Amino acid sequence: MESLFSLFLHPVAAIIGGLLASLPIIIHLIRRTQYKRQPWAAMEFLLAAQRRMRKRMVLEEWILLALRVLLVLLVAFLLSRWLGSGASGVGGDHIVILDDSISMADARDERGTRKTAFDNATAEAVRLARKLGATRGIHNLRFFLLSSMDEPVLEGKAGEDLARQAEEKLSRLRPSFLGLDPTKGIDASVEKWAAGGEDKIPATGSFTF
Amino acid sequence: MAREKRPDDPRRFLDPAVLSRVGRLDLRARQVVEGYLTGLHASPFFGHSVEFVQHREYTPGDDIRHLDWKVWSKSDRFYIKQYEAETNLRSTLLVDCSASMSYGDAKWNKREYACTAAACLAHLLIGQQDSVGMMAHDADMRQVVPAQSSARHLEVILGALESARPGNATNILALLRRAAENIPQRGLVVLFSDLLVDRPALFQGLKMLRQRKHDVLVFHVLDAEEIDFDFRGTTRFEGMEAPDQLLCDPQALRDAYKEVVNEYLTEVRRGCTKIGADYLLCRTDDPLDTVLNKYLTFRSDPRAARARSGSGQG
Repeated sequence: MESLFSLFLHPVAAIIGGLLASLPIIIHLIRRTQYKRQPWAAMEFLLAAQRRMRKRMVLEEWILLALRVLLVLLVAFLLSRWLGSGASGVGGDHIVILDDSISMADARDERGTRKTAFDNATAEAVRLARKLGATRGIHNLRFFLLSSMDEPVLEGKAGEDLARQAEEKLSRLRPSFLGLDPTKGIDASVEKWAAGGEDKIPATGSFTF
Repeated sequence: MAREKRPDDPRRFLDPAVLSRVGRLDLRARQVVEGYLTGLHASPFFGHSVEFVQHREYTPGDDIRHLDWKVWSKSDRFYIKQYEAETNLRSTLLVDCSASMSYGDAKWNKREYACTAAACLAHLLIGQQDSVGMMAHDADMRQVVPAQSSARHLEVILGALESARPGNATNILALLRRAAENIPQRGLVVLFSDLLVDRPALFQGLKMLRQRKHDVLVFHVLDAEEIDFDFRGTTRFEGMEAPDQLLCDPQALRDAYKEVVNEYLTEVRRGCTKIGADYLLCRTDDPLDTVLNKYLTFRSDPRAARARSGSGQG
């Protein structure tokens, strides 16, 4: 059940929606208790008609009920995703770790220019800032260097502004001469995530690209 | 649907919507009949009058004044000429007063329609010096009025119709058997009923009447809702003559219901035709002139009457 609700950005809405899905069944049962009474002379024909239509009517009722329940569930699922990514802002904080170990200084020719792996990583980080800015909701980004996980190199709201800042600032950075362990960076970001409540940890670096 | 009629048009009283506002049965009947063109009718008996009907072979005892000598001169055989006699018609109105007949509006239901139609026929017949009797029934005979033709007799019939209240379920076979046994002379038997009865019993009863040489007219009275079944919303239908109940969505059942009703109407119509009884389906929203029209058409076609007298005798 927990894994099911983890699929939703707003699991509370999904739970409420799930409960609302039982409304058609409740309404169906209530309607069967609320009816008008009609004295009827030609019961013979009515009972004969009911005998003819019994199977079809039961099938139609079940299909109708199932469709109503499914419709409510669908609306609930859609709403729970939409609320999660929009109004609440939950899940919009991201940590980007740039691996600046010596291995990232490895350079190769790409379309006539010589680029290091670190250049590619920063370009990817900039693209990520731009891409998240174009998606619905508020996404906060923090860029860290693997060699110094204490302070972020850059942080801000994803978008064109942050992308430009990242392009400018990250392009000035160069890989260190240190041999760094990527797992330490991940551990550090998990600690930050646990402390700050972020629910998403994307990372870029030599272990990602 | 109510017909548009001028306020002074006497035919406006043929409209059930107008009739339902007239409380007294005698007033209803008088206004309907006076608003309608009445016609003469022919006797079911062969007598001696002006209109020739058929030849019959001479048998000892026949009056030789009626021998057709022209036929004798050609064929050397004796034949009697038979004519259609205009004699008093003896009619009996059988009115169903079972519980199912009270279905419909309180002021205008099947029973009201049947009683008004019966009163109109009684008014018409007595106005033509014919004798009319009446039997109102449910499971048993509730009112029995012997046939007479006096003007005061109309009041007796109307009073009996007024006092006949809806009762139990119909026992159609017992009723028709009793009618067949109690009507001494051959004549016209008119049945007003919703025919919500066992069909074999109905046909058997009608056959008894036909075997006793009665002409039989069946006015099948049904409410418009019983045919169209135009209900909406969850409804619990409760039987008026039986303890059956059904909770359903009427819209889901409508097509199947109408199919069943059409099969039933076809069965009743075919059954009546096969027996030789004239049948007419009357909806309670039909004008009353359909009943009078049917009666007058029935009486004004002697050839059809003879065909009827020849059928359904087995």
